[in-house]
Amino acid sequence: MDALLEDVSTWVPAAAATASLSSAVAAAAPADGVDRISALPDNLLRNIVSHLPVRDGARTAALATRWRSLWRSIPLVLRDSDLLLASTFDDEVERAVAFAAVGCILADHPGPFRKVQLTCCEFGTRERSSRSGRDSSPPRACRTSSSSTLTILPRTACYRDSPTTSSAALHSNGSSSPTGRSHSLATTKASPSSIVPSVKILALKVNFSAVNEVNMLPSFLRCFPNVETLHIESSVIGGVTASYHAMFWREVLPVECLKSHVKKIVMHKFRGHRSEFEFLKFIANGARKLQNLLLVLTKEVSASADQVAEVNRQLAIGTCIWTWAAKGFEMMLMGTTSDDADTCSFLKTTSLSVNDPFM
Amino acid sequence: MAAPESGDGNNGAARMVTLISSDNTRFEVEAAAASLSQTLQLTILDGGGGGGDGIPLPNVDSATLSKVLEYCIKHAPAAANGGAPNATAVDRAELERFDNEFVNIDQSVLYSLIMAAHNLEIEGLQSLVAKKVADMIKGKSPMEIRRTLGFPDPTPEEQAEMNAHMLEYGWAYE
Repeated sequence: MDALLEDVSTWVPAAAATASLSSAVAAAAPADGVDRISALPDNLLRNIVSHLPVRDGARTAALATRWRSLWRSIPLVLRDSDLLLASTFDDEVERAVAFAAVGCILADHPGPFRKVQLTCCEFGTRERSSRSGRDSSPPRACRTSSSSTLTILPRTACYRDSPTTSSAALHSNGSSSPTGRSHSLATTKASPSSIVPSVKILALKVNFSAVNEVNMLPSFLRCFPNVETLHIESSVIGGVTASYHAMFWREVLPVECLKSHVKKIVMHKFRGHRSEFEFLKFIANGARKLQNLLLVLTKEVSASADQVAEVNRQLAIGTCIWTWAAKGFEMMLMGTTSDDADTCSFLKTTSLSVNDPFM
Repeated sequence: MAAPESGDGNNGAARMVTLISSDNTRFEVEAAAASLSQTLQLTILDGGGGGGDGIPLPNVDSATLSKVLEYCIKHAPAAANGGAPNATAVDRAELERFDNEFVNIDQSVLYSLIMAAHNLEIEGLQSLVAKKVADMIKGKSPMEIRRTLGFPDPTPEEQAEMNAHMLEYGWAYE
């Protein structure tokens, strides 16, 4: 305690001495129309800019020379919903404009990307929407090594429009289409321009009954070679024969992030559907570093003792015949009482203090 | 707000501490309120600021300090509840109303508050005032922002820089 006391007594006056600005600002107390904000140090101006939506933040760079670099020096928080006015949320043209902007923003901001949350842009409309006419190269920020979070929750509609939705999300940087419209996904390779090595936490929604979504999943994961934590919100709408899944996952080539980086996988809204088990089997065989697998059951399944027992039985069989690669691997099955909590709490994903916003 | 030094701070139920502004005004407040400041918290935990001692704050003037303490006193009960997980909606709405009213102030006071909140490390106040300035900037063109913040008219060079930015960052102006 003595040491602590000493620590404080030496520190308080020092802190006081370094910051005589506030009294200077207040003492000057100039009349209106006088620039007082410029008396603030850069870190406080940055704090102000970081509270602005992306467009407003970028505009501050035009204010004066000193502001020029501020927005670019703050980790980017990009929510495409910020690019849309509430009134134009359902306007297709507006959404296309916003989507075009997403590419420009990713190209203009040097990174790191703190959060990139694309939830309302129609990726299927890309061709029509790239009217900005900018021939931008892949964003430099994609090459940064710092950790960031990417949320992509494309609307279901865009899956209908474009089978390459997930991949197209990455095309938003304006580079040429790498994986294109290829459907032979087991062999598709992610090209350098679509790879985002900086993402450590990835969350996505997958409808395991939709052939095109399942087909897209491995290719999509290949675009994020360094993901360590993977959140998948599962849905099973409609039906596909389980044999299709078994066949598909058998033929998929290894996925880099699963092979060498993913340590934790959380499957939200797990139902114990066979298509989900086929995916787990693929993970079991491919994820060499996986330490934790957390399966969060849906409310309906958790409520039924029979269904929980059935999921447990399936898992028990699975864990016997599948080969879990990593030592010390742990699997957990969790029930929920509510499905209201969305995987991706939008408030949380934009909070800079949360380590993993999807937990 | 400015209370004369009483010297018998330990008399009541709540422990009191004395803070001394740069212009030597003494403020007596509950330790719990002053402890919203991370900077002051350790000193107070170690028993500082009581009795005739007082904690000098040479970088905060009395007008700013009284405003800061107004915030701390209002927010102290909720903070004591650990972010008030069990606060009622009414309590939260009341705090929100207070916050909105609280930052409805002159720009000069606002910037002094930003500095004070930063120096005293009062997290909630820091983000409240930063948000307020952000709100003043939101939805405006660079020229409008300059006027709002009281920048002088742009020099031709600054004007040119602004135009260049608008061309380069077209997406920010849609």
